[in-house]
Amino acid sequence: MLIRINATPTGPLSVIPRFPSANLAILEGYNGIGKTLATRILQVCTGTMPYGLDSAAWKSLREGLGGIEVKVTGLQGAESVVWVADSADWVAADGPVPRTDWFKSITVDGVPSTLDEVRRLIAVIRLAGDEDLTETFASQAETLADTVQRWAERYTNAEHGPLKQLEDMTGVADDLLSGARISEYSALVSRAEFAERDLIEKQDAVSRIEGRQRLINEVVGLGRRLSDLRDKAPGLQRAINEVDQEIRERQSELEHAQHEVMSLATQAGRTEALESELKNAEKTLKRNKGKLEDAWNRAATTAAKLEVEADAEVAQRLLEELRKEERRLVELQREQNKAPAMVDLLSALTGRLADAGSLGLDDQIAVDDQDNGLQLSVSQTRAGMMRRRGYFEQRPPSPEARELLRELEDVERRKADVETLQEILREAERFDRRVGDNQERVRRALQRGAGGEIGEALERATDRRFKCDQALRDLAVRRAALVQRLGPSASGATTEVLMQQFARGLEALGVPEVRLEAESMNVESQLQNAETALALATSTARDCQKEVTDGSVRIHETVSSVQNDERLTWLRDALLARRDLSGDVGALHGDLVAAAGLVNEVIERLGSHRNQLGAVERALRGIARHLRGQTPDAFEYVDRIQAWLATQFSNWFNDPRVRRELLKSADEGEAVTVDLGTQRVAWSEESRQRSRPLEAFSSGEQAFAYTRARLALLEDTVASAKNRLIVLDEFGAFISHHLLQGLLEYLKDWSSDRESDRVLLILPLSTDYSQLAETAVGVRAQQYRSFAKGVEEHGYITRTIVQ
Amino acid sequence: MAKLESGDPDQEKVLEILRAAKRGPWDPDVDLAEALSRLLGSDDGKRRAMEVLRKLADDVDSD
Repeated sequence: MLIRINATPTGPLSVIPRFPSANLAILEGYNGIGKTLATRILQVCTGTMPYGLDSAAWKSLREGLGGIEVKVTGLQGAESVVWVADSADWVAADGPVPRTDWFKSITVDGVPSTLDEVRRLIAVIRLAGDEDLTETFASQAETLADTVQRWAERYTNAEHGPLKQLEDMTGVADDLLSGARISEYSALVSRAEFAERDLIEKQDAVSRIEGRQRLINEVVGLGRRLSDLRDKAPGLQRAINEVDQEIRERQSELEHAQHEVMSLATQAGRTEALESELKNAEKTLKRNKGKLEDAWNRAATTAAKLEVEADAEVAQRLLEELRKEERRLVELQREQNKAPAMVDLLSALTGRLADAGSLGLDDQIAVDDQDNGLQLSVSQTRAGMMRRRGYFEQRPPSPEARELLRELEDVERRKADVETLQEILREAERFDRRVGDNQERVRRALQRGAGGEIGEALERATDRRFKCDQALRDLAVRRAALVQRLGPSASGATTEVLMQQFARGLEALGVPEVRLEAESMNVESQLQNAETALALATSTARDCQKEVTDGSVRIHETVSSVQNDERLTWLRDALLARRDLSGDVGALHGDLVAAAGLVNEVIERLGSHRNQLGAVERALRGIARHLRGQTPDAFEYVDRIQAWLATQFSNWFNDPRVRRELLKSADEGEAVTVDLGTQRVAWSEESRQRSRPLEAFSSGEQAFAYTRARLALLEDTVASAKNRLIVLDEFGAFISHHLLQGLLEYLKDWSSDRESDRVLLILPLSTDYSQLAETAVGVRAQQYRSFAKGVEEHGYITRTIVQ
Repeated sequence: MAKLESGDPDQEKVLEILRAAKRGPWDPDVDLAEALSRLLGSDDGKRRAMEVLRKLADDVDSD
């Protein structure tokens, strides 16, 4: 591996132009000729940041180096790598590690390449001889922290990369489920249930007050009737008495006429057949007369209740008025309350959809709202409409609507009474015709066989009889109407009975008679308040129900998205392993709650990962700070990672060569352990536990041992590059001459096992080769003269130890 | 989860550190770290991402 650096520094910097191509070589030169700087440049070119970002050395390099071309040839895996860069560009592209765009070009065998590819091809490692063992451990911890940071930047960057990709995908699910506001749904249902209960309470309150109001009205009515009875009864009773007197007179007149008719009929003398016919005719007349009287009595009673005359025309006019009033009220009701119409509509539609279900169409799409992304099957549409119908059916009417309903019921009741009256009047008319026919039959039966004066007398007597009959019927109707107007007393109830009923009513109300009117007003006021509260509760219940309905729609839509959105395949599959993703809205809500739980858990796990990596990195840096005697400023993972690092570091001490150099007396077969907390090394010596602070190893004479340890470290950190250049810099100041020879022997062994590694030992020039050449002889003198010439021309020389 | 094949030089070391720091099933989340490494540069990233999320969702019950 031959390395050439072509640099024309713009500042006061020097860079040696060439590194030797040998497995193991020594570069010996004056201070300030750019030995270390060349190594640093090579580190940048191979993707390692050799300085702290804020360090003066890094700033000096960026500002003073200028344009460079670096070329490495003779690599394993490539013929050549060439970098072209300008250190001025490194100002703008400042970052934790060098990147491809720091370079104008990177080519591998003439092909444009990236720094990542270069990293896999070649690594440059600088080991500084001026570090002690503690610093080596601290550097190692920090190197690992850099590794974690680099990895985290690559995989868990908050703006791009794999973790961001997963977070974006879970974000889609999270947005969808957040939009469904599923956490609110249970509260909406609870609120709707509460509103429903409140509504029922308010309805009960209104019913209770209405019941009391009805009782008050009854008692007030009883009071009025008692008063009426006291005021009007004498007149009505007198009129009834007069009618009764007239009835008695007419009855007497009738009996007289009947007696006369029978007497004359006997005088006329008739056959047995004629007698039989007369008897039958009388029997039929009596029966139909009884029915006619009954009909008129009923007609009179019904008409009096309606406060009209028992007359067909009057009844028809009243019926038309009531029908007109009914239409007006129904129209008013329809304007106030759409619920009945909706119930009718939804009943019709759900019926049709049920029919469709029986034809196997339940799974077919019935509603396709593309604007809102909502699709409902036949069965879902039917279920939704049935729920809606139930809602309208249970929706209580407003106070105004209930008043309308009461009025409508009253009109319908009166209409029914009028229709009953009309039916009775038609019945009366029918029996009236029959009675007329029956009378004619009787008249004919009487006239048969009678002639002359007897016949004429019989005719007159029969007329009187029938006129009395008609008069008696008219009187009976008049009496019935008067009785109806008089009320209970006339129908059997006495004033005493009414008074008893009135007293019982007052007792039930718990109110004395003097306070009855005030109580009536009080209850009216209570009813108004209760109806206002009911209207509010009705409105609230309706609003709550609408929110529940909206929530249900959102749940259906969201489940549909989970079922169909290909971006949510992962969530759908995970959910279907646990749940059905079907059923009523309650079950679907449960499905979405489960989905949200899964999504949140996954998001939490993804987010935690980024934090974990940060904490692991901080732990490693904290351990490094602790080793350097600074405050760790880290807690999480520190104990575990410190224990793991201690095991790693212990392994170095257990290397046979290191044990031989540092712990010659340690018992064979017994492990040497490092405790990073106390920063001590422990071992057993003749079965006795011994320990020593790490600082105690940091003398210059022992740099040799540290170097071995750090070379062992390389196996862990940069073993993946195909080619490695290991530069041992700043050595010599701490290593005595005999240890340097030992180190070279060790490096020979080490590099011979690793053909792709090149080791360069950089030493300060400490020998005057011109002087040595003067005292040496033969080949050695020639070699010294050559060294002296190299030093004079370039400021440094290189010596190949292993080619 | 399957072993990484991305060739990321840091990957094995990071996983080793995460395993060393482990104090709970997913703390730190070594499984997720391995899964992320398979996602980067995958030819079929979307499908793999779906698989990873499905696995994470399945893991919820086993937490």
